[in-house]
Amino acid sequence: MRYLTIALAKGRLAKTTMKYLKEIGISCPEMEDPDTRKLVFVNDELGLKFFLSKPSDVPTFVEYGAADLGVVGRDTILEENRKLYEVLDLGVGKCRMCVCGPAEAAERLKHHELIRVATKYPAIARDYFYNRKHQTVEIIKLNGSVELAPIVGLADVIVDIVETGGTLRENGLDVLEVITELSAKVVVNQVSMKMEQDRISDIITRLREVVRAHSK
Amino acid sequence: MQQLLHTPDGVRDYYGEEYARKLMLCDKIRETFRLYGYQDIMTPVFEYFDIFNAERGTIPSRHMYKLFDRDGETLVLRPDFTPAIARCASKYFADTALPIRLSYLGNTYVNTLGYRGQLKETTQAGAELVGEASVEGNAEVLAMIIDLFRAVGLTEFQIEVGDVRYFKGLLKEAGISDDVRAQLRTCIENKNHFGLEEILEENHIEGQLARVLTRLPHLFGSPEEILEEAEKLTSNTVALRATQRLKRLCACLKEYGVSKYITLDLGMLGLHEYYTGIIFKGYTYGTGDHIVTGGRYDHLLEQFGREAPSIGFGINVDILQQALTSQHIPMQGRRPAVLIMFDSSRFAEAAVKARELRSQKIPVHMLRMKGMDAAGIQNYIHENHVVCTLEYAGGRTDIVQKGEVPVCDI
Repeated sequence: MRYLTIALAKGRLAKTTMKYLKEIGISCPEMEDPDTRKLVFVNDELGLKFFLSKPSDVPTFVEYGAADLGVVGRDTILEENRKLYEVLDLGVGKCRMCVCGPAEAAERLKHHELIRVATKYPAIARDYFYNRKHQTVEIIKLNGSVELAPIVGLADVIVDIVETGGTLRENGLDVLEVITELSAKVVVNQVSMKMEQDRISDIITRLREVVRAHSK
Repeated sequence: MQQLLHTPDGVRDYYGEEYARKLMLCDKIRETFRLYGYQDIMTPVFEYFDIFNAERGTIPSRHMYKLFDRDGETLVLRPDFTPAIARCASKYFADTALPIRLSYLGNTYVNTLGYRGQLKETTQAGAELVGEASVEGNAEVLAMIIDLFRAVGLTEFQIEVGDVRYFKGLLKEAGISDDVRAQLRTCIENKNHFGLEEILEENHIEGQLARVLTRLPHLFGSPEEILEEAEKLTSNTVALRATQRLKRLCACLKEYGVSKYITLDLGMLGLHEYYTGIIFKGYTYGTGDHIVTGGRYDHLLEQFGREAPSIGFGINVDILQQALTSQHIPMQGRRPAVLIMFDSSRFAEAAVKARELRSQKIPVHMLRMKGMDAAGIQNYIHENHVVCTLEYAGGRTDIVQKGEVPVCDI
């Protein structure tokens, strides 16, 4: 039997995913050891391999078939725009991609005027402003603490993920526009889906049941 | 000054054993095309941009390499072959009502994004069957692809076939707007079940149509099961005609003895409006991308002034070679060779031997021994697939032979 390889986005999402997988009888004891320094975890019995990667790299690993399946947030999928099958919504990690800024910036979003946008997601921001709002913007790519940008005057608004909005409010920022809803997705390599159809479909079908049970 | 030796991002050199294998692979591909009666055709590397524009090609304009000629015309390096072949078919074969079989092999140029490990110059091989609308024509093309893969040594692969008329028929009946249609197409193509349900809900698509559309991303697998379910799901006449044709196609493929390589995917729609009938992709292990893609495009030639139903496909030779390598499938590259080492004093003897071997079609390398060290020679032997050495050393009269002279296998 060939190994199926599953790429997980490091962090909370990986833990939730493993919990869901456990409910359908897929586990990986190697992974549960908190002190492990391994990069790839194997379950020989089930013919499965797991690895953790930076979330933004999960779509890349899956597109090239280095991983057959992956679990990652929809924000990353949209930003990376890779050739993938997006087969299942896990219904966890729910949040929204928003345009945020000080309340007075709302006016500047209405008149197609040139504004500066800071974001970790330049592709999403560009698609939203150019193709949906038809507004010309200057996009500044940042790698973290995006909320800083409008506060210190680097940008007029930001495009970022909003979960509860707590950080925003504390810093005097508001959600100005919602771009899209986000949650965690299971993605599959397009070749693997066909070459290993039986095993992958089986995992997806059973996961779907688990997701349904949890969402009730 | 720093020497400039490396190639630009996305292009590369081929040499040695790897290139020999690639050439051999190309030979086998060409041979299969000929066995099916296809004639080779060569089109220019660059042509007018309009030949490859939006409705005719599958590559977006911003991914093409564009240049201008002296008259200010926009030219592009060919990103794809099909439109160029269609142009040729309209230009040179306008008078015949009989089918035309054309095949090609050459490089294409697509300016992909950087840092994705994708080559910008790739070798494509493909064939187009022009002026043949029948199910038997479809079967011929699929059987040829399967024969071709078997000829290069692949054993585990799948050709997945769909028919865009199933989807098109369903939507036409329902009178759905182009915008929604494009959204549905993307979701179904990406097997995005969740997104699909969202669109159906937003647009109040219900009943039988909603049921069949939500099943579409899942309608892939063995032909019998898929066709049975697909027929139960709808009463749309266009869609049912598509399943009937697929059934006949499967029967034809059975006659060619290639059924075991065929699966169906009715959710495969292609991201362009280009295809008008069957559509297919081929997959194997060891590569994350498909190795062949194609389909029927009955209206492409009309754009060049000639109406002719056509079907064709393109194989990415580089990805195919990558798959063969990663599956450890033996590929013959360079032929085994003889190395003749000589001292100048005995060149006459060595030359006679070389002529004799070459006349028997055995590759011969000549090497003057003066100043060569043993390690260097060993290295040469290793790198050049030498299986036999003949040494004509000076001051002696014998010939030292190591290894057997290979037998010509062509």
